[in-house]
Amino acid sequence: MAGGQERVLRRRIKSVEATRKITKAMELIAASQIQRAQARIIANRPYREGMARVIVEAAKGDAHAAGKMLGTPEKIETAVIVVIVGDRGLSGAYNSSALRAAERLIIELKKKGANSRVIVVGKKAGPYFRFRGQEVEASFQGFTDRPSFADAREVAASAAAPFIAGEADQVLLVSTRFISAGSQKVETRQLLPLVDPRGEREEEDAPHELRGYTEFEPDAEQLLADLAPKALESEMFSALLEGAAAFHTSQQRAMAAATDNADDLSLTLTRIMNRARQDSITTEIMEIVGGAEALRQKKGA
Amino acid sequence: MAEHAVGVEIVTPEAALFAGPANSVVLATSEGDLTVMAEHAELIGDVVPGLVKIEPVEGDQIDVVIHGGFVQITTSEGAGGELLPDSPESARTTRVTILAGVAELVSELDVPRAREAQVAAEARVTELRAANSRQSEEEMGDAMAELANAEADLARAELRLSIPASQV
Repeated sequence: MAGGQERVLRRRIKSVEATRKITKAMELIAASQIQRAQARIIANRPYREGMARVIVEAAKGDAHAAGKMLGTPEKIETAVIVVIVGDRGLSGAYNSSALRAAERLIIELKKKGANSRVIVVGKKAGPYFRFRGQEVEASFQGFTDRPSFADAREVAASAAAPFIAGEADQVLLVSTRFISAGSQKVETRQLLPLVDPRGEREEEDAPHELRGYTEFEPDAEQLLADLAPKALESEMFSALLEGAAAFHTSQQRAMAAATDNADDLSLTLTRIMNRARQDSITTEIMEIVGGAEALRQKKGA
Repeated sequence: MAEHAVGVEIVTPEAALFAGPANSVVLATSEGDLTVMAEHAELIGDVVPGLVKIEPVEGDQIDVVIHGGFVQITTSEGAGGELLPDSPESARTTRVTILAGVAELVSELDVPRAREAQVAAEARVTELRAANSRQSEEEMGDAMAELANAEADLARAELRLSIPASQV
């Protein structure tokens, strides 16, 4: 019956409106979190850049030691893979794209005959790997929204342990880089051994860079050994910060889309409801007119 | 004055603790103490846990507790930028960058206050644990977090005390 349909539609509109309120609120919260997360990335930048400078200088100071300690290992038997995702969902493709990238990486390594030991950050990663039968060695959660340096240290220690013990040849990180508010990208980076900062451009830049006459206390080799764990912590922290910013951005975008969708849906439903109401009124009038006509004809007959 | 100043910055992963011109900086590497003034040789070194003393161009000496880190001293031609705003364009500038995972301004450390907070937080946890009711689970979480924070604060404040008096 027509009146019933109207009631059903009214109820649906109400529920869509309620959902819209929630998604709108989440959108606004995420937007404010982006600001904060971005500010923290900026505050972290001097430390990160300073660390990179020190490593470059130390590597230049003792090229032999640098060659031993930096760079990509030729043969990888076991790799530690650290994956950073969020603790919560409702954030578009943020979690799933990082997880899928990690899964691809594991498969790729397996093809080359390397084992993977997986360490995850973020509540959403554990179930994903468990469902796919991938063992997870360590799992961290509860701080992906606002990571502190102490959190980064903890993750870094757990990631470095197998490498230091000689059980792993490489430590890789899969995380979402926050390039700008409009652009985030899942990226795989090598954490250990440290990436050689001198890179390929070494040859061309070498004469220019040799101007440095830098003293080392202690010597460069020892310094590099001391720097490695600190650099790992620093990298991990900035990855966590960028991950948090990317998460909030992704969530804001997802919730803005959900809010728009709720608007569209409620408009469509309102139109359907109005038509249904109009239909039922028309039908009612027709019935009354028809009834009255029938009565008159009966009288006249 | 400005020609003899060094640009000093102490940065931690979360924030810059100090950035500005100073007459001298005293710090300790694993090979001994080091006083950095303008025109110091370029150097990269580690900083052992302890106090770093900055004598700013303006104002009182600033003490910073460093939980280990690295220092880089660089010299370059030209003005010192934001660290040495008064330096002339032609000057050679010396910059000291101290990188520390954890560092704290001594003026912000307060052991008695930290201890008080820790004792209060502990009492709250004990009290809630004794009550052990279901509804207070959330409160319990809050109280535990507060206790952890208070303990971390206290540990930081106490580290300051653990530094030999000779260094302070």
